[in-house]
Amino acid sequence: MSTDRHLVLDLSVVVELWLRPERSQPIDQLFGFAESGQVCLWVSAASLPTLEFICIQRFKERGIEAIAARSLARRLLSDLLQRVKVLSNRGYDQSDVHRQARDFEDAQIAASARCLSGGQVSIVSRDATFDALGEFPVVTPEQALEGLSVEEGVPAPHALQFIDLGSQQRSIRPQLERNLDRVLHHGQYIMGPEVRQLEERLAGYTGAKHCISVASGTEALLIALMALGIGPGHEVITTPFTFVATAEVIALCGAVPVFVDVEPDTCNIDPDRIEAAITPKTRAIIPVSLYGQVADMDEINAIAARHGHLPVIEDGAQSLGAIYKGRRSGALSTIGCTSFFPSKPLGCYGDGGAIFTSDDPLAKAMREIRVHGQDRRYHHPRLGVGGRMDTLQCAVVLAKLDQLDHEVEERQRIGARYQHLLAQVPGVQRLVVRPDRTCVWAQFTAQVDGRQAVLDRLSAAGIPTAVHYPVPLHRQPAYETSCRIAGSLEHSEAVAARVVSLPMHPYLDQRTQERIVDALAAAVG
Amino acid sequence: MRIEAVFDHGRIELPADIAFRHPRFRVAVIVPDDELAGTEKAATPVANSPGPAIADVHPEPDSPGKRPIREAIDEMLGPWKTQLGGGPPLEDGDIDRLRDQALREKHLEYR
Repeated sequence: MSTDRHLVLDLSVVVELWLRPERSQPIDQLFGFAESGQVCLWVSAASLPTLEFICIQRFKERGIEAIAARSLARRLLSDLLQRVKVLSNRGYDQSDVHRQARDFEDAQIAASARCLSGGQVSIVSRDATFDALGEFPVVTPEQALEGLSVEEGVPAPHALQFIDLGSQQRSIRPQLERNLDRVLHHGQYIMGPEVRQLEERLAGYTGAKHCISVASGTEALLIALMALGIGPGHEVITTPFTFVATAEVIALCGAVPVFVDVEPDTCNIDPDRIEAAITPKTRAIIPVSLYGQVADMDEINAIAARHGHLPVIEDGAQSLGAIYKGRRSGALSTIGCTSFFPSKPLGCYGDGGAIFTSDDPLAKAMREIRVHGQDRRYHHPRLGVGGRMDTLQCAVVLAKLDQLDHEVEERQRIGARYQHLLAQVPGVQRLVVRPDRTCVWAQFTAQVDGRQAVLDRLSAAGIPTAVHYPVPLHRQPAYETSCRIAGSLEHSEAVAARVVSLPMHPYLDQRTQERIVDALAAAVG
Repeated sequence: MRIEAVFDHGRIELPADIAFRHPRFRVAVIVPDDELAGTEKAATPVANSPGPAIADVHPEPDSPGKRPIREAIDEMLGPWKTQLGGGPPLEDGDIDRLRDQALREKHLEYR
């Protein structure tokens, strides 16, 4: 369970927890809620030394020797720090906070909680006059507990978002600050240690032998094609129902995108239509794992093998974390590419991407192409690009990586709930997820007739939507004359006219989902 | 967990029959006051203090999620829990007093 409820514990509350067990039952319960993921507990760094002082002093007052008192206080604090997250106090804030504060110590706690703004944040204190700078509600432990019990499942009061990156940022704030601070400290902004660290962890995660981080998902595809020597006179088979980057990189290499139709139920490329599209010019196949569900990779790999071992590049921009027959997206074919665009299941705070392969020579070539085709300093045996991923962006992804599995599980849970709710709604066609694979729902997309009217009604109901994607690529002006169409593209045309994406992120609560589905049911009805 | 250990010429020996999860971790050690060289008070243990006869070795607390916080606190307090619970309960005003005393001790009296 993911939560965007945050309680910042004033030191009066922690003192009560440690030193007044007869009064601490509601605080014990708050920790129980935190343990089950229903609330996130925070303590300001500004409170910690004072907490230790008070604790030691009380122990000594009760006749415990000084050494034992210090040891006990350290253990209590150490235990606390494993149960709560710690908010930072920022130097740049201090002048303003000092000017604003009625009580400077309280104000430090409130100021440190500013990074949580946007979530449901309260300060928990026994001090009725606590100075929260007028920015946060102050509640007693009992009130906090009551709020958690009563408001369970109530959506946040802020406007419904299509993708909620704020909740995720609040949940990983300490790791994020630590990782970014490390980069600012060591100053290796290009190819710093975080780059290699991320690559190693992602290779391990996907099961691929190599991971090469790159500047974007588009760059990943481009570098992959360049490493395979794709160029003028060549053809690359792909789907027209995808983001433009998939075909764009083929054209940028001077090759011709060959569009093959999709399956109408999964919106992924139809493997039964690929073989007929293969010609002597064919040099690669790029299936797209659309919406977070991997395409039929076994069938596609088998076709590629029958035709001179054509390389297969999985465009997994939306599918990192998805599982296909027990293996992870990215490590299912010759090369896998993914994107760290902010809205992706694993996103950075800008552009980023990664390439996966278990082929040593290809990995070497792609590493060189990433850095201007350079194999050693100022020696360029091949053409390349400036395609490195910034160290800072790698640091952001590393901060998110620890909870990727949890967020993927949440996405699947939320996706399954949408599917279940929409099963009762006539007029909405759901995406089919094949039983031998999972979908990480980078977008939750369904199909409806009369889409524009439905979008307008959803907008009027306060439900943000998007369309992924409204025009199949063979209908785009840039590709109409430069692509080759292999057979009928009727399904791509049909789904492009009907798809609608609903709000989707790992922090979407049940009531909000029900509200969205109710609005959709009314809009299609 | 409290266990007995022996301090022997700079090394702390833990009982050999306990298996630990990690080969290296931090422990908190309570040294008996009367073993501290040059400490006048050490010869007179504080009344009601459990006053361990040999070093107490506490591994750092377990990671969260294993047990409720109340249970963890009670275990950390161990025999001192009764001692803390005795006497009048801590009042709101006491917290400010404790803080003032602690700060005074840290910044004024120890100088």
